[in-house]
Amino acid sequence: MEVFQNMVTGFAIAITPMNLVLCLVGCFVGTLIGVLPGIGPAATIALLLPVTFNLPPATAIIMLSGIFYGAMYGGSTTAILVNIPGEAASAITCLDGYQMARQGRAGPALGIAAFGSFIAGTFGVFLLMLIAPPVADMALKFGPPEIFAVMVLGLTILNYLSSGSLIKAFIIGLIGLFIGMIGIDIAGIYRFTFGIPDFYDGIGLVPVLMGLFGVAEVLLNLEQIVTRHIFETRIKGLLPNREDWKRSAMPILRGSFIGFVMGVIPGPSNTISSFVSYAMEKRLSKSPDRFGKGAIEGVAGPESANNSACAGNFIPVLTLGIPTSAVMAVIVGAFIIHGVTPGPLLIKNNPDIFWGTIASMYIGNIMLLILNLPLIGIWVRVLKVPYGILFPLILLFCFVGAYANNNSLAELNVMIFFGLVGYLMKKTGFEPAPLVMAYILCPFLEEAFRQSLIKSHGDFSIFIKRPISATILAIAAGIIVLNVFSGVKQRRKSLLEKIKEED
Amino acid sequence: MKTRKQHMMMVAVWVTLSLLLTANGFAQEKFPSRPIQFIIPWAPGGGGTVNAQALQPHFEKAIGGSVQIINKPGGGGTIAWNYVANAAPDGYTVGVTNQSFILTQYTTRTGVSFKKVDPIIMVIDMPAALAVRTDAPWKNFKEYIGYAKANPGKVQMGNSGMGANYHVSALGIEMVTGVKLTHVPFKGAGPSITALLGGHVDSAVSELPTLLPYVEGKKFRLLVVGSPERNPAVPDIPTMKEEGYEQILIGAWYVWSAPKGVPKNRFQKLHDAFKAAMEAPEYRELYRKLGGVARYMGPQELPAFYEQEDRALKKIIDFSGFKPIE
Repeated sequence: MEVFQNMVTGFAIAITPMNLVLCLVGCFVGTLIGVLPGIGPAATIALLLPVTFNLPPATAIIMLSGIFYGAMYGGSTTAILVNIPGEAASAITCLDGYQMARQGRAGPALGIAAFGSFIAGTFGVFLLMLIAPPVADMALKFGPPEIFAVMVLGLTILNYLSSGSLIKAFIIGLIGLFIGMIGIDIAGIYRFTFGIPDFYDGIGLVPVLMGLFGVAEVLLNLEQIVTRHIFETRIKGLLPNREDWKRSAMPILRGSFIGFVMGVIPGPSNTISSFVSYAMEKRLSKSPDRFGKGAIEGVAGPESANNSACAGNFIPVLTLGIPTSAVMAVIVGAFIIHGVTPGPLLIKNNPDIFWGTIASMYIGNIMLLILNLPLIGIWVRVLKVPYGILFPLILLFCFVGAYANNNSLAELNVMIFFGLVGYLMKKTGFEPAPLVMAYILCPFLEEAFRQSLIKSHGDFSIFIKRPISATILAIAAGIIVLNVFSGVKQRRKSLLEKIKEED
Repeated sequence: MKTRKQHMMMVAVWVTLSLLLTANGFAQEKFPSRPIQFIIPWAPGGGGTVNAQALQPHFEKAIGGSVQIINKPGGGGTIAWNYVANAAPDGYTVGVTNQSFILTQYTTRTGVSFKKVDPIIMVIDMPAALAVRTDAPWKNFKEYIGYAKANPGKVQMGNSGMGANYHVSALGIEMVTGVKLTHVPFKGAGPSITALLGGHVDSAVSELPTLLPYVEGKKFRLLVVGSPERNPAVPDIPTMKEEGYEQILIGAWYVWSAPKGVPKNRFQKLHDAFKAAMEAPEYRELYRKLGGVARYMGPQELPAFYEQEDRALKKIIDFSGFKPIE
């Protein structure tokens, strides 16, 4: 078989001592920056690119890719321990991961995140190896109307992202959409920028996340300082137990699949795939009430999804030279600097890079698992650090991260502002997840909507005339109908019970 | 006990050291004595960062100091250009400018006048080209224009954002040929190329290095290039002039600029280091493959070049009536 032969060549490249060592370096650096909030893989890869100048191209790409998928492993750590998503894709992990940590189950949460990431990462690479070219052609069929449909589908899951009131989830989702519209739109019109140049390209995702989750959590805990015994509950086990595994097996599988599919579609797919996976697990769960209160499925699914999305991300880059995210744009830059042209001819002209990178991802995923499991024991000890020391440190890392993200002071202010917003939201019973989801989707939703209508000269039928977008929109409509229906049913049930009680 | 000789040695060392210190204080500070900042107005990964990274090792060797590449994206590049224009003129801050630097004077409220910086050197010139899919019915520029003329608004042109460079290039095509296109904006050149690959737009203008891989992969066909002469990477594609039109497609060039008022000797040092870097064989080879021309222009010619690009872009802006809308 051709793939088999190619993979043998790929492994022969990946297991040379230098490539192994640099793959490990990449994975290690990736884990590290994944743990540090704000400092993302895009900036790190750009920073480390000059170090690779004297390396052969395949080696350089192996190391730089390691940073990317390594960051997805590390991103969950701070989300679980201190409620700050290390990467945007781990924002949803805060919901249940942090609650697990508060119940003394940080170990199993971190453990299932690592195992899930490993399984999904390997699954994603396996698919990448088998079906990259046809999948890439498929991805190209996603023009503006199709992307619009996917974003609409994304919005239909908003209500699964909060455990509180449905109305409040929608209100906060609408506010998220509003925040997503700040900046210069694709027609060159300035919206809600207040003349601040830093807002022209929209409000940065990283400072918003760190504010809503991290800073807000610190503020909340400050007033609850007397109740700190919650964290002092004994840490029960460092690894997931049999029950945890039983609950997580299917979420990991489904997350792996969703992540890979979403990863190929242009947009912030890592983040969206983790949100979608969370919503799906909640929808399928027999006890959705447990979500938001420390359900391990809410960690296993999303963390698997964002790792498998990494592999999906690589498909358009390796087969067509198209970067679908900021990180991939940097990887494309790395290809060019090394004299390799990313594009449709990469597999043909540079098979060593294509297959070597894929093979190294198998090895890298194993390395990351080995690297991350022993770290769990150390991470859970972070929770024993007294608040007086831990909180200033968390804030310090948030501030450094918010600035380092774009070297901009304005982003620091954005983070502080959203810290206060997050605090007030918690106080009033609003949850941050629907806001974040809507805010991430909005620019893509609007852009695709307007592009479609420009293309069709204002004719709305473009959305239903194209089979892919029509199908996706039908699914979205189905989900809404189903939600309304089950909502009505539930309402009726509770009303009936009430009547019975009154009788 | 120390011998007399040892004492003498110690005195000698102290005298030398103190002399050195005073000498340092009086004479001019060594340049560079700390990292030189390369300010990139775009997020990591784009052509500007690639250019900085390609220059970096050779530049460092030539100037005998280190370089720090700093990405300051946002505001269509104007955040970084304002930063460079207002930075201390000590030679430690330089920024890359391109045609958008000229363009944002007219398309944004925060654009910086090109007269507020001192251009040091042009290190690369990448011509723009008009691309269609290989299965498109138009085999050459004449057929494309002919069809667009007969069917106003039917041909879709992808661009990297309204008011961005290649939207203005497309408006330039409308200006000189009299056709009417439908402009579909995308966020950045990448997504517009993706849309052309998927057949979601009919054509797109972009710089040659971006398009070339798809031409070689038989996905795109080029109809016309924007450079004054044919490009060696695509020698069989005619120029705008050969097609009988004014040269209106403005490609991507990178000029490194410094804030006004950098001391002459430092400015010269920066220029020489850039020049040495762009003459490095690795740098030339990289851009030869990419389809860029390592075209040199120095501080004497560049102000006139800025003026010329300014006039050309202003003309299209005036023709289209494009204004930043608040």
